[in-house]
Order: sequence, then structure tokens, then C-alpha cells
Amino acid sequence: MKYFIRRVLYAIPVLILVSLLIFIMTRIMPGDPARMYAGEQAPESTVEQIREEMGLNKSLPEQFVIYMSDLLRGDFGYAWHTEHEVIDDFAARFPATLELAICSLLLAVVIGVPLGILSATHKNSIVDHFSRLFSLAGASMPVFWLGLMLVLVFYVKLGISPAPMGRIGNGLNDPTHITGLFILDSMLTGDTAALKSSLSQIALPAVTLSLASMAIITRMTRSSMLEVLGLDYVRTARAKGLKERVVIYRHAFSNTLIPLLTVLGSQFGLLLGYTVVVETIFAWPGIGSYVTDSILITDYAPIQAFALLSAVLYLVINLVLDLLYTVVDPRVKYE
Amino acid sequence: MAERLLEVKGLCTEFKTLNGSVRAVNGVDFYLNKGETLGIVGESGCGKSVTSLSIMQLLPKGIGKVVEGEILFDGEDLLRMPEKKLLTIRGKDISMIFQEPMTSLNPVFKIGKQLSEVLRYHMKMDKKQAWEKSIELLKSVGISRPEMIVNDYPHQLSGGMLQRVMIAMGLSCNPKVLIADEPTTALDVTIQAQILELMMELKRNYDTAILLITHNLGVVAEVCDRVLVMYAGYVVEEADVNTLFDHPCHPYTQGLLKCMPKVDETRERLDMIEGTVPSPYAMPQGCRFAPRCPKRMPQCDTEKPELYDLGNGHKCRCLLYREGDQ
Repeated sequence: MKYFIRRVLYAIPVLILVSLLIFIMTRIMPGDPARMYAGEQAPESTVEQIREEMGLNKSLPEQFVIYMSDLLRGDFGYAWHTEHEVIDDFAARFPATLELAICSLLLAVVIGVPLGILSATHKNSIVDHFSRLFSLAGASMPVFWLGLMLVLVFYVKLGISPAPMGRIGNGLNDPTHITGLFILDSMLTGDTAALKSSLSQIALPAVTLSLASMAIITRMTRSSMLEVLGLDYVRTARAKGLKERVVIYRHAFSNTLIPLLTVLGSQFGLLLGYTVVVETIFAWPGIGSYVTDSILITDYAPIQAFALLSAVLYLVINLVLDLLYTVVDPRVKYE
Repeated sequence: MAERLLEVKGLCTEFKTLNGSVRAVNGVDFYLNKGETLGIVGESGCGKSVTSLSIMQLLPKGIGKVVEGEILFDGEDLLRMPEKKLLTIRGKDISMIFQEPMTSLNPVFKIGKQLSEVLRYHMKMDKKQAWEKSIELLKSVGISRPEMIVNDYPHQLSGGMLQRVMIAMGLSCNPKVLIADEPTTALDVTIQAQILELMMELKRNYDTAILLITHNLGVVAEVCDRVLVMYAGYVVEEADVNTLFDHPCHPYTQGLLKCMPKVDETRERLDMIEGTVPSPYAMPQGCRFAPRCPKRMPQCDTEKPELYDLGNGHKCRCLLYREGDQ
């Protein structure tokens, strides 16, 4: 508990620093938000008036103080390009991103972990060669290229996949809003048409987003399994006469959870970054595509909010993982 | 005649290395009777641990392999037994304890879980029975507060305690054979004595045959009935323990015994055997001990000695004892 409080306290300076950095970075970005909003033809006086409304005529330190004090009051600012409060936009779009992230991470774990284990237990076999090739390819393919290729093959050429346009097929209504996650909501309401459509809509973006993580998880699982399989206590487990399956999954795998959790934590950060690209390719109405739009028209508030939210999520996930270490490994204890 | 439990015939084990195959164990024969303690001694790399791992078939997969020979347990060859049947013997009828107690237990499971796992699997006990039996077992190997220790994790116990746990685990299904691979090497001397004492006591109580792998002749003298001396993958001498210590025949055994300090002697330096164990890639043509042997004869470099029978179960692999040469 003491450890938990300390960690939360440590997060405060980190977040202040992050907000300062984001603030500076948005201001360095080329482009004038007021001009973008007013339009190219607008007279200078109008632009000046808008600039005043946006509070951009004040000095940078002044702007930062206003930004921080707004943050403390829970005000994330106003998105000029959508004409909504940023927080409302986020609330509307976050479930889409969450659904995509969960599906990708799930895919990465469900395929990556068993593949890594198989690869380690069948070292230098065909399976192992395939998995190593796969993880090398997965880790080296750029996400934007992979996304476009998948669309080209599965939508354009083969026609198995629906058009890469959002979360649900044309002509279908969104499932009744319960959690905002379409797959879950359509299951809860028994809306099979929506379920089918949202599953086929999410397939390609989820695969695109997960491949890099899957590759890294596979490699990591393989290498830590190989290490553990050579250890004395695995030999002891075999000497007890336990079945090979029990030796591998109970005795060896449970000892690879720590490095695996660590990788999962860092993959989450990567995933957040990649959503920006993937959501843009697949017109996915999540936070990633929202931020892309904001960057293109230099709308400061959403960009700042996205970066801050990412930082908070990252901190929270890593704290949860650190606490989980104590569950998976009795040797880990925090004072 | 005593009942033969385990009989190893012509065991050859090879290891794959980057420079080709290496034969770590070369035609080893021995037997183990019911209730007997057989010691296998030798330097590091002589093949004693590999012999024990070959019996249990725990050689590292894809690297070590038994290429020849038979390992008969209760008349059945373990090497040609289906995996499923082998699993019912391994850990139940033949169990094994290892050199490093600190790394031989799984760090993420409670002691009680690791003990009861064997009981549940081999003795078909339910969770509660197995847990209670684990506490009982810990008590029998001299662990105090066993009902608390079952809830501990390996890192919370000392090396000596862990080796006791390993012994408890090894003996949990009343095995007919216990293979102990250097069970005391990693422990300090006072604990070593306790562990040996414990093993002997358990042997008396359960009539378990023990195969004790060690490089410590003191340990052999204390607990073994018979001894095999191994050198470079071969058995070089086999005898009962008194014969071996009183009348060692092989120059290697004689050398080993000379290396031991004695209480009634005042010597500045201990004797030693000149030279080192030959590299597995460059084994001598004739007798493998010849390059280091103080009694080396010209024919030792060219002729391979057999294991010559000297009577009363005493055997020695040295040309000095070949009939007609003496």
C-alpha cells in the first residue's frame, strides 16, 4: 500500500513534465491555429480576433499557466475543428480505440504466446523456423504499409473483407450503447447482424495493429521459455514423472510471466502510438484518427489531451504490471 | 542372493557438440541390489552424472542420447519402454535428488504444492490428503514447523532445508531406488553430515536402494556398500567398500585415495595425480589413464584394458591385472 502511494506520488512530477513537453511541442509545430480556423481568405483582423478568442495572443508562459490551471480543474480545452469540448470528443471516441486496442493485444497474446512456447519446445524444427521468420517479418514491417497491403489483398483483390470504413457496415445501426464496445454491446443485446459486421470490420485493423506486438511477444516467449527449460527445477519436474505438458505449461511457463508482463507493458505504449496510423488507414472513428485530424489543422487542445492521456494510461498500466509481478513471482516484494 | 533391482548393461551415452559427437559414458555395467547403497565416484566429467541422468532419461533433449545398452529395472528395459509407462516409474519407483537444492525447486510454487504434486500424480491422493502427507514428509526429514514450511516458497529456505525438502520429495512415494547426484556438494560440511545421516536413516526405514553419485571419497566410506570408480567414461574399478579402501587395485583409485588427507598424518602438501582428465576430443588410444599413470607400461599406450575380474566382485580395468601378464 505504501509502495502504491509512493508510486502514485512519483507520477505527479512525471505528468507535469509531460504536460510541459507537450505544450512546448504543440507550440513548435508549424502552422497558425487561428489562420487555419479562419480560412486562407480571411482578413488579418478576423484572424487576430480569433487568435484572441483562442487565447493565443498571450505570452507562452501565460498560456502555459492557463493550460495547467484548466487541467487542474479537469478542463482539457476546446477542439475548434469539431466545435466540441475535447473531453466530450474523447468520451465519444475512446471506446472505439479501446475496442481496437483490446482486440489487438488479445490477438497478439493469444497467438504470440503459444507460438513462442511451441517454438521453444520444438527448437530448430519447422515450427520454430516459421515462428522466427514470422517474428522477424512482423517486427520489421511498417504498420502503414502492412495496413494498406491487407486492404489491397483482402478488400480490393479477394473481396472477403468489408470496405475499410469505420466500425460497422453500411446501412447497419450501431448496437445499443452499453459499454461503447460494439462487439460487446452487440453480444449483450443479442444483435447478431451488428456483431457479425463489427467483427468483420475490426478484423483487418486489429491484425494490422497487433502484428508488431505479436512478433515481439513470440520472440520474448520463445527466448525466456528456452532459458527456463534448461533450468534445474524443470529437470526436477521431469524427474517427478510429470507429463511433458505439465512440465512445460505449469513449471516452465509460470516462470516466464515476469518478462512477458514487462513486454506487454511496453507493447501497450507502442500500440497507442500505432493507433494514430491504423485508425487513419481504416477510417476508424477512435482517438487516433481524431488526433491525426487535430495535428493536420494544428488544433492544440486535442493533441495535448491525447499525449497526456497516453502518458497517464502508460503510467497506470505499468503500475498495475508492477503490482502484478508480486502475484506471479513470490520473490518480488515491495517495501 | 540379494534381489537385483536395477541392472545397467553396456550403457553408452553420447552428446552432440559443435565438433561432432562425444561419448561421455562408454560401456558402463553395474547392478544395484535391493536395500543396497552403491557409490559412483570420479572426477568432474568422468560420466558419473551422465550415467544417472541416462537411467532417469533426463538427458538434455536433442543434445544427450543413450546410444547403446540396456537399463533393466525389475527386469524391464527403461530405454525401450513407452513414455507413458516410464512416467509411472520415474518419480515413483525411481526418484532422484540433485546437487543444487537452491535451483532444483520451482521458485514460484509453494513447497507444499511441489511436494503434493508428486503424491497427487503417483499416489492418486486428493488435494487435502496430499497436503497433509506433505507436512508429514517434511516432519520425517527433520524439518521443524512443517505446517508452516509447506506454505513457504523455496527462496525463503536455506540450502540444507531445501535439500531436506528434495529428499522428502524423492522419498514421498517410497521409491525402490533413490538416485542422489552429489546431494551434499553444495552444502556446508555440518549440513552435509546431517543430510547423509538422514539419507541413511531413511534407507534403513524404507529399505530403499541408493545410487550415490559423488566425488567425495569420505562420503563413500561412510555410507556405501559397494563402489564404482569411473574415469573418462569408463568404470575402472568396482569393489565393495572395504576392499576398495584397503586394497585399491587401479592406479587411479590408488591415486585418489592418496589425495585424501588423513587425521593421523602430518603432511605439508597432499598427494595429487599428475596431469588432467583427457579432452573428449583427444582420448588416448590405449588405456585412458595411461598418460597420468605412475605404473604406465609400454603396452598401456596401445592396448585397451578390459574390466578384469579379481574375484569376490572386485573388478579392475588395468593391464597390470590381465592374466598372463602378471
